[in-house]
Amino acid sequence: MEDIIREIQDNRILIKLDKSIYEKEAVLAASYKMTNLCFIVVKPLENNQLGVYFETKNSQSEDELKAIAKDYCNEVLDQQTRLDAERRYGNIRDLLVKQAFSPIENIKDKIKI
Amino acid sequence: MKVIKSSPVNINEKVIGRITKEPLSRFKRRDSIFATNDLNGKFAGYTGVITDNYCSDSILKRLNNIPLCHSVTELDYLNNGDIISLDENGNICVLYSKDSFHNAILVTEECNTNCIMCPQPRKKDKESITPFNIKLISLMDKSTKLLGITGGEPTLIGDELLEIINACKKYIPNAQVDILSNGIKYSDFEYVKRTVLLQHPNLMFAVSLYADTDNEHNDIVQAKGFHKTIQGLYNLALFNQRVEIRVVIHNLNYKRLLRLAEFIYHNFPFVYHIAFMGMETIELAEKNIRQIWIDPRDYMPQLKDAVLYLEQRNMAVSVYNLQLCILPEVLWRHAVRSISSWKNIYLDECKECGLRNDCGGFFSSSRDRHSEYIRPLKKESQFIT
Amino acid sequence: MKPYQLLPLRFHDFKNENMLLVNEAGEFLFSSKEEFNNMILYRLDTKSEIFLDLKSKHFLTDTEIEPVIKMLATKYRTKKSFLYDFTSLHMVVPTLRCNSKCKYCQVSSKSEDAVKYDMDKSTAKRTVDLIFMSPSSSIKIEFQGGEPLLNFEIVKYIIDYAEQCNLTEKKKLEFVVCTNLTLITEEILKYLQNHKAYISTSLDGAMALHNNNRPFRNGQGSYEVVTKNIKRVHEYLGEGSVSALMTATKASLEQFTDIIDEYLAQGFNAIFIRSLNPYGTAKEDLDSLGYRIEDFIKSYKKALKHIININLNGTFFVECYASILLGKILTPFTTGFVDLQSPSGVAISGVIYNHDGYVYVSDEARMLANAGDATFSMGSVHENTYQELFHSDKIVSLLKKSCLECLPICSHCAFQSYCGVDPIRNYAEQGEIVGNRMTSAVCKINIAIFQYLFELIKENDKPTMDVLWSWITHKPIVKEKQISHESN
Repeated sequence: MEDIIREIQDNRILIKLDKSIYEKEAVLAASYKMTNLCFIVVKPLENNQLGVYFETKNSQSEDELKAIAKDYCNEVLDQQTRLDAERRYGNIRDLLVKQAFSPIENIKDKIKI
Repeated sequence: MKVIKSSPVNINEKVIGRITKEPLSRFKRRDSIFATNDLNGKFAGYTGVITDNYCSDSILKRLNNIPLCHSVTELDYLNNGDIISLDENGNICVLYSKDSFHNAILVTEECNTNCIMCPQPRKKDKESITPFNIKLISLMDKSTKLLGITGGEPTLIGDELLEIINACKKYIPNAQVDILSNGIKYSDFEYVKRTVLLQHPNLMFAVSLYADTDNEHNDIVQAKGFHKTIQGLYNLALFNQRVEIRVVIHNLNYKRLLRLAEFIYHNFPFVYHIAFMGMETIELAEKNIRQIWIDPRDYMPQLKDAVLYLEQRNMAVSVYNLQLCILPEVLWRHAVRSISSWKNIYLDECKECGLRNDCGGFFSSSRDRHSEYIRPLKKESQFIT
Repeated sequence: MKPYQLLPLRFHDFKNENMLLVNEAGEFLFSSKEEFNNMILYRLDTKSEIFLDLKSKHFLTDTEIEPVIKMLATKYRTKKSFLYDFTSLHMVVPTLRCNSKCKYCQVSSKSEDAVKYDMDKSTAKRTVDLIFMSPSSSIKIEFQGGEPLLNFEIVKYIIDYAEQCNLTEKKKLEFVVCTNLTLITEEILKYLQNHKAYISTSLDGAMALHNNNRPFRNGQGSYEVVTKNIKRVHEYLGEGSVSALMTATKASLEQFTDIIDEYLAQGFNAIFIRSLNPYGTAKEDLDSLGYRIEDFIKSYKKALKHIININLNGTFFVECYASILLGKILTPFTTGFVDLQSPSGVAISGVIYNHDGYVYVSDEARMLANAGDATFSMGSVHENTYQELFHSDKIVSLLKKSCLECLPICSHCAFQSYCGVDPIRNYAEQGEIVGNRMTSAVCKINIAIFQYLFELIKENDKPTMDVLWSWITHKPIVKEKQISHESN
């Protein structure tokens, strides 16, 4: 993964993600998940890429930061997969949830105080 | 049904009546047909008279215009309470046997399929037989436990079938009424609804299904019936009706019998009974015999798999019209004596068989066409139900 | 023009060049890899047996589409029919007090005299009122705890009041008391018998194992009391009136077969083998109690083999978890097992009313709250209406995230039709309700069990399959009388 993760200066790492594979929504969702571990900023790059910049928050070593970045790669995959699943199967899920609550649509209840 | 020959007198149209072997008082004779060999009495008021005696012209002159059949060939066959019809050709049709479990009425000879193994010829009805059938039902004994409604395809008479079901409700309220159908018309939701709204207390629908895929089933019924039959099954299930599936086994469908059982279990788990049936090789079945005949012994492995599959899943299964000597023992508990007595025979080989009384025997038409493996079983054999 | 149309299906690379195919309604079929490849490349011979098999099971169609979709839809609705009735399992916690201190206690139980952890009458009444607002035509009220018998007065009150309410509601009403059986008295047994209540208890194995896991608060072993009372219950209430489950810990993994034999000895005809749940004390003590997933799976398979053999030797004995999974795999019906369904059973199928009137989406959610995390509280019986409790945005969004059909990995999994979601478990183990299947212990265990069950199904050994079907149909196999005959 070394050529994907590039150290740009002390305590900073850059990951380049191809926009044709990873949607902005997935990138941001994954980035948000890392905000307890480090500072993150996302910038558009040339060649249809997104750059995700990691900076240490809790004085992690360079290796630790690299490990966080690798976890991030898996996380953005996870988020993208969820997006894809939602797109394909969101309909049936909505039908199921609608059916799940339909038996109680008309139940009325008052609290006796 | 059973037909007895005789010589008719004074019969211009079909006469229907209930057998009485004892003379009845004058006021109770309506709808009764007196079976007697004593022609000295007065017969006024009876719907008809039958006798095994030969009636000479002089005797006939004494009688009034009462419909009469003489020289009846098998008078002993008939019992009190049986219902018969007399026609102008002297045919005495036994429409209903009071002591039999297997009574059925034919409501039409028309059909919307043309099953390759059909033992009932398809004919155009000259006129509606519903009034006749309703009269027939009204004469049946109130204790009647079971009545089959058959054809042709009974649902083709449409709302007249509803009238017949209503008549059953009225005249034979304790009887289970089995409607034998290909289920196609029951794909019409409204028709099913109208049938159910009659609120007959004990209705059963026996629907035929012969394969687990459309082309194969349609090739057998020679019509595009598969999906309509399935929709019919669904509609009946929606109304919680009792449904039975009937499968006639022959050369064209025996190979995939287990797959059919799987298909039935997964798609129609609501059926209350499945019947696998040996063929009756007359009429259309006879015409197509080369295509459809297989010695039943040769499809026993497939039948065993199919029956045990359904039994394992707690479905009620029966085997009709097949003999114990060719059925694997494990299927004996599913074998039913299903053949109507008037067309039920046993072969010479059966004389020595220890299980003859438990076995259903053969169709009379199978005398010359049956399994090659029929043989008597030892007298010590125990039939455990 | 394609010679046939493929219908929705999921597939799994089975061993030995076989593929397992599962259709949208959960019907499965085994094919060879070659047949599978031909199928998806539209090269199958439409006259071949495999083609007819696939067509019959609605994996593809070459003639009609609409009626086939209709058939799949009918079967799909049957599988999801647990959604029609809403909540049928209502768990009630009459008290959090307990006289035992089980090592893996998930509910953070309190000491015997801590009466502030008892449910009071007004909470109990309002709870029953809410229970009967459920549209479900069958209601099961299950008493959990703590140890319910420590507040038997409220248990009786709830049963009596529920039966009274049911005079007008006319639902199918069932009661289950989950108890450690150490406090059973004649009076209690009589009451339970009169109201046809069932008992569910825990038995972790023979004396040493059971006492090690489930001591009284004073440290003494409970095995003798428990087994003595099991006998009493069987005598009083009859066979089948009490069921037991076991919780697997590191110590018990090697002894599953012994535990099963112990169950037989105590007169049980079924066992529910449960893996360790990560709540309460169990979570704190995972080091000494916990085990590797692979070890659990190995022990479970061994246990299942042992149980099948017991059946083959003439004794009817069921492993309940396998029985539920087999019902999902082999029958067209739904099973009503709220812990493994999609959408998840949280709130919509099962719910729990705590002693303090707070309502939770599942027992696991309650355990989390007892340990300090009330994320999955639905509200309070005293402060919220039925709609506020069961139809809140919180519940709806929880359900939206608990449909396997739409989750990563699960959406493509061949076992999806048979599996289910536990969003609370995901939250407890992985920190969020969707979770990641690749690191989920539950997923690993379920896949291994599914795989094993499918191996048995594919082998199709008739005696074994007869045993498995006897579990599903609840009809013990009757040994066939051998009819002897010969032809003349």
